[in-house]
Amino acid sequence: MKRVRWSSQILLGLLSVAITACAPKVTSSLPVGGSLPISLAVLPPDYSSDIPRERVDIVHEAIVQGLRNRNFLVAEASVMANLCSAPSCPERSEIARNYLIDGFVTVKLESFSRNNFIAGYYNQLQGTVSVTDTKDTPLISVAHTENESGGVLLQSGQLFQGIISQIRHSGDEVFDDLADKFAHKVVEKLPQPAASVSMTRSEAISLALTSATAQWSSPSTYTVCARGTPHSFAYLLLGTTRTPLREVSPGYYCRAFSSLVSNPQGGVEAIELRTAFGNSARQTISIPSAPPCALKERITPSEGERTEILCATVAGDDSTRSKGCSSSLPHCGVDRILVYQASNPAGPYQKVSEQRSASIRLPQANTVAILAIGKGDVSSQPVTVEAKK
Amino acid sequence: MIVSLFQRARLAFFVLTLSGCAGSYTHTLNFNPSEPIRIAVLPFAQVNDKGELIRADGDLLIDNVALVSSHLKQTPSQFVQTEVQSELSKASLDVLTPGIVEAALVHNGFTVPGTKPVELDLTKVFAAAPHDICSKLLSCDAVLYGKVLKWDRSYYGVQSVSTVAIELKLISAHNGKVLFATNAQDSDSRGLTKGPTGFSNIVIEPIKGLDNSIITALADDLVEKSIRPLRRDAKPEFLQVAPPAIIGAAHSAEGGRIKAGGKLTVVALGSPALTGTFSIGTAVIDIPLAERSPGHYVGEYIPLPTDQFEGQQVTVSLRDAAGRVTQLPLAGSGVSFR
Repeated sequence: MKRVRWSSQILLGLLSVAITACAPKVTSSLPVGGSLPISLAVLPPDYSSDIPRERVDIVHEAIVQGLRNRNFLVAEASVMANLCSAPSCPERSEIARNYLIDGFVTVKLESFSRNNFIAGYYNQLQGTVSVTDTKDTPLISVAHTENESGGVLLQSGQLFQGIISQIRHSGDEVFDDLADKFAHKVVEKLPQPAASVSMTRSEAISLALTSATAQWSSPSTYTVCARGTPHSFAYLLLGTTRTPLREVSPGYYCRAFSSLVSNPQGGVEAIELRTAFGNSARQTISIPSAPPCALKERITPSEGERTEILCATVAGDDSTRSKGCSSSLPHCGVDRILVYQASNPAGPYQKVSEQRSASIRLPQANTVAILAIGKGDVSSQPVTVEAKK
Repeated sequence: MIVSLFQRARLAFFVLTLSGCAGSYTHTLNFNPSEPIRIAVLPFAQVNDKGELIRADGDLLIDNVALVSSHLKQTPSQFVQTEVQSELSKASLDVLTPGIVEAALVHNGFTVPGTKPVELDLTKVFAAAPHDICSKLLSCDAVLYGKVLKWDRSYYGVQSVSTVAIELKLISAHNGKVLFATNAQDSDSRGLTKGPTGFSNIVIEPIKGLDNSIITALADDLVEKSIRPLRRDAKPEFLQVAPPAIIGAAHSAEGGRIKAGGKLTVVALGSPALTGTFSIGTAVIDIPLAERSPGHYVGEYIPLPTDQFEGQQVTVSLRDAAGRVTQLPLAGSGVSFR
């Protein structure tokens, strides 16, 4: 009777050892029942270990997603990659101040081993996830070794299941599963966020996009600007492309684009403002298809000494305002018209006059070039007019 | 004799039914998954056989088989939701942070009054129009609804079967169109059909089959297969075409310096019909390259007066529809502007 009790106790002891051997090891300086800051940033991956960088990235993504699934606000990986100059991120305090981040997460992978022998497999991933506050004080650290074994030999209770798992784990996707399990178990060990998003850090997710404009700044360039919450990230979205704007002053984002940049495939045309945590606001804009008052379709054939600019108002002269307008030729405004002349189309051109009327007086020359100057001194592409002889 | 044959046939049918290896997956895809639309994943719900929302049973994942299973803290709908969110992060969709979605719902009256901790009113959440959710509560293009239709573990003495069924629907907030829908069901079994290797295993393995690790692994696999059509790397054409190639590229900055009032023109020659961009170090990122003729890409960077950088490497990138990227850093010591 006593022997039976002893053997069952030993069995229970072995079982406990087996179970605890797989459990993550937690080192915490938080008080019992303490919580973690709600807004976190995962520092960029450190590729210095022997583990291939693609695999390091997979674990990183799994940790970020695991934290988000537990309702932490996690800064986007691309943001951290652009703001940090090294994996240790010496810019931490500035990032914390500007982007309202309260804690930093470091993922350190120590080793990965994959052993696939025909009758079984045994894979292992070892690493540590630590959280520090903005002053680099350690809050909690979780070290874990995730093991995965199976196959005919190691799943001896079920022959067919052993074969199935052996086949399933013969590919490279085995690492994805292992990374997911590793992340799941580590993140599960972290305490809850300090409070729900609704209670704190609402300023970290609230976002205002007050204006977005796209204007021609020269015949071949247009400038896209947006005004909104400072220390955010603004993008021009054209179809499936996303181009970042630069924050030129707090809350003012701009970038100059070449006329080459258009949206030939259609789709969304908008300005997007994002917080570091991925919350966003959008405002649609229209990318101008041509500089203001493109003259090519507006110039009427010259009649004697005069020609007219259709569907335009030139320096308050409304005489051709509704003349020749259509959906493809909308009304436009021009400040002044510059007229140049040359003896042949190749030039050289000489400025003849500056006119403020939609009806332009042409000089007696073989070739005449006309240029419209619009708002902000933006000029149109020049158009040549062959003079009637 | 006839009775014995009939019994064997019945047993074989029983065994085949229980083994339940073949899952059923139905997908509908009505949009280009490489388009970066923003989606809000709403809280998932569990439904009964009649399709009615049922209150999540907190005990469903707490198995009663001591020592063979670990304790999970989530309900089936919560578990499936987190799995879906994790899988969606591998697609090219722009998924709103779950914490932000939950906060928006809590702040806008989608809770059961008087509950502490606050509990979401799923009936109300599912009744809300996607347009209202995306325009009044959040900033998104589409809403993903998820339901757990089945989450069963059955024990038959010599066999145990776990079954999971889910339904996912991605609805456009702009026009109410179903952008993506999937209906999936799959099973996994332990016991007689998986070839027990000893008499004791005939009894032990079906019990071990009730372990929550079996049903959660099944759900994980089910979700992965359900989301697969949205993953760019899973598209069939991924393996049928060569990855992007850049034959050559150059920029216009003489001596690596962009003159004041000037611009930087970058040209590249590579595989046609791709999305091209170029970056100047970390100072200027992802300026689009326009394809002026097949395989010929041109882009221009026009510095703003406030721009300033020194010796930044110009890198050209071409990306295909499957998300594969080829990059070419341009020769030289980089470009500068001040």
